[in-house]
Amino acid sequence: MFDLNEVSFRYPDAAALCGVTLSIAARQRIALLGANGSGKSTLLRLLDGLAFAESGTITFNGKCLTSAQFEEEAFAFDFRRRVALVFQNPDVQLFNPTVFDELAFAPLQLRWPNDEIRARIADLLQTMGLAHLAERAPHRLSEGEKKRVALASVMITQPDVLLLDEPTASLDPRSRNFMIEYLLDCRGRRTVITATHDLHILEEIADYCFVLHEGRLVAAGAPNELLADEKLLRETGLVHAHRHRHEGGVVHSHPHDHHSPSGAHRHS
Amino acid sequence: MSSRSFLERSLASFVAIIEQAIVAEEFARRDGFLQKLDPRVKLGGFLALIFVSVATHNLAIVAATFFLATALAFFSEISLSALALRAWLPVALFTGVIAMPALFLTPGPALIRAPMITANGLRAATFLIGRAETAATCALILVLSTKWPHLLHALRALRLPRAVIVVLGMTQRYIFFLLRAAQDLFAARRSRIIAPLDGRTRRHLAAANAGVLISRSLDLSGEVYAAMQARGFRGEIHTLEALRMRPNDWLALTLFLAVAVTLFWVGGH
Amino acid sequence: MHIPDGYLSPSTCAVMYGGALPFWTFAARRLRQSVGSRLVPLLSVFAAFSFVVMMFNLPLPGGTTGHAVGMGIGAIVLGPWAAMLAISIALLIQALFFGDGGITAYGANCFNMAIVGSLVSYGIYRAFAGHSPLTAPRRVFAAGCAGYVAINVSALLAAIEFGIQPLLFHDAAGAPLYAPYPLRIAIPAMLVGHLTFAGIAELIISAGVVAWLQRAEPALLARSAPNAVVTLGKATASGRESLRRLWVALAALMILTPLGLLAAGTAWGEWSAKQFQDPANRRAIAAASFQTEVPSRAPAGLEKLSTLWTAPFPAYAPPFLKSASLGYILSAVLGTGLIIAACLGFGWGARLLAARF
Repeated sequence: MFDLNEVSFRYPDAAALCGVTLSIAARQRIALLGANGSGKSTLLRLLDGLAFAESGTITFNGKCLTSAQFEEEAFAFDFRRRVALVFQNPDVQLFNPTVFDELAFAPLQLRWPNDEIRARIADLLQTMGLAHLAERAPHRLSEGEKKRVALASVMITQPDVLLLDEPTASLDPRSRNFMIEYLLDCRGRRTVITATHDLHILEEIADYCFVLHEGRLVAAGAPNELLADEKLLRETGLVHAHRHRHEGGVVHSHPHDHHSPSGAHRHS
Repeated sequence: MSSRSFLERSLASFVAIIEQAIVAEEFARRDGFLQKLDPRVKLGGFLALIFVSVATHNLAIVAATFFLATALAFFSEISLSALALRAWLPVALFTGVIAMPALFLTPGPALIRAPMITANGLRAATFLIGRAETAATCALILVLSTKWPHLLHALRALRLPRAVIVVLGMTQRYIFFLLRAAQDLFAARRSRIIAPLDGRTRRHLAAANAGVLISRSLDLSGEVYAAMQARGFRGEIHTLEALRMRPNDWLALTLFLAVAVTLFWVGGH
Repeated sequence: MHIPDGYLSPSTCAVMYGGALPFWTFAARRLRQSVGSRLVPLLSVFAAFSFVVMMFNLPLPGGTTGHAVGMGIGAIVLGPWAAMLAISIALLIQALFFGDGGITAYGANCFNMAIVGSLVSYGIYRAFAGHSPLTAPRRVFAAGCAGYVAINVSALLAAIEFGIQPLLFHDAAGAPLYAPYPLRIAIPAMLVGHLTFAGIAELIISAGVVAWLQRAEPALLARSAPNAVVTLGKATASGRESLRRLWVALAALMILTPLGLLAAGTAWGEWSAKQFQDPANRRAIAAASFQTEVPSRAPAGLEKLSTLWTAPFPAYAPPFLKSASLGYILSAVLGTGLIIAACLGFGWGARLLAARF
């Protein structure tokens, strides 16, 4: 589905990605692992056609993602319907006056008929348990609700590919479980690419992982293989070396430990 | 001076006031007369009343418009104390201060001799205060009785470009974001400063915080743009036209306009 | 300075809407070309920023406070076109939710503050800053002047709009139907508050933010400085020096003002002192529910400022009030022209001075 060949990308002041080559098949569940600043968010943006590779190529179903390609309206609409990105910060993503408008935004841009939009929204609000929030202002919701609305706002187009940037960051255990359940549910039906540094959820959300470090792809493999490679995790900043010794055994700790439900250290 | 900088204090109270002003749908949720109407009818109706109050040359008409608006509020379960607090009092204070000198300064036959008040002065001051009060009351009732998203839809009926409506909606939304950010900035700096601040430091603080905010605003607009693009935004704005006029709405609109025209006509010139 | 409903006649309001409309459309078209589809989020967020900055309550020398409109800083960072649209949107939100500024007067408020304010502050900033590097102290000075002059030009416009009302709109008996004060009262009354409190607030915010950006993010100043000498590295402790220069300029202005006052002496004291309170406090009063640190009265003597303005226009004499309105409008136009000429002259002088540095 996605093929990346020697992709590099620079921000004005620093390199973000450097010679990344990888491919992602349809209906795979992928995790992009890396510490903050490793380039995983940038990679998501490149995959979503929000930024374009400076060198190297990214293809989606054989079509090269370039700004020229997105000028073509038919391609742009098709791509935007099929590939959806959930931003890490819901305050950025939720910019409409009500939850209803939020869900209507994408289909409206894609010129769907209004009656169909209404029907779809009603349906999705039900299935995602958001019906009671339809008239509310998104910025007045709790973090967990915001994240759910953000997810719903992209699921409305029933995308084939779902890109998620730190979907569980700053969520309480209940919302976090909802998110994980939802991603489990996508198994075998959608391509899900999740950028995260939350190792606890890895095995549930991904079948295969890529590890990024300082803009380079440094490892790839199944979740259990990578989690077993302590040296790799330490070198890429996914766990801290000095916080390893706990009574009764080794526990990987990392910046999001305090968000995890108790007993979630299942990989240790 | 308390340890909380007064910049921060004013911001904190502002956040509260703004939330109250913009988001509190306290009155818009009630089941009153105005709440049942299509927002476009209310918008058209109240704009007509505001126009009458500003355009008429007859004080009685200004007063009639004022009482009509107040009656509408009363039948829409909008408390008069809310109107008093948010429109009548501030306008009376502000415009009152400005209108007062007109009593003495406007040339014309004297009404009272001791401090010389002229009839024309009294009339001028009454006009100024009456119009300002009436227009402010109408505008406030419109806003209080209408949910913000509905008001946005209604503005579309004024033939404002879609982009303007969308920008308005997003502005309202990001005002909160930036206000919170500003509050956090002041709080963060306060936690690092123990001594009371002199005016100069506080000015520096305000400028620095405004600087941080401006740079955050630019980042934020870039991010929001990406989020819009990601969902298919290509520069053209499309919105759902959600409103439908019912017979009652047409009736109310006719009544509103008939009253406005009558008032204007009765007032004469 | 936010003009409420009822101060301006419907025809004045219509004219002001008409005056604002071409600027809005032109600005929107200009921006469409330069930022394309980015326009919507850019304006939204920046309008929100303008709104929030208008909330900052600045401590002013002498223990009072004031609010800035943020037109100086908006025009400097975004350019005049984006700034005028963003401030217009912020003004609309203020009018809708806070009754700060009227609905019928919205066009006038936008014209005075958003449009003319942005253009004047941008012009002055560009003129004063010249080709200096982004981090030059001179830019802080230029920003301060830009904010200060722009808000005063806006206030002057508002005063002119007020001032022509009693002549054009009165009933048979001569009672004014809208803003009741003639130009010779309206202009000094508005300007006294703006030359002092509101002006200084705008100056502080404009100069302060530019000084801060020079140290933290000089790149944000690049848009309004196409000719700036590009230098790498951030500003050193330079802002202070230019701020001092700014204060000196301001002090000079203030000393000059009372000198003019002494020259002539008529008493319009009462009303002027009262009205003096209005522009500096507008929000404190409008939002009566929160803190109200306000200047309690006008500095003694300042109220006589009005005489300054009658001097150059003897035609303003009371008998004239009752006769030809044409002459009156002409005087108003002339007044605006003089101010603009003065701004241009000032800018030109500053550039000459700067060339010697």
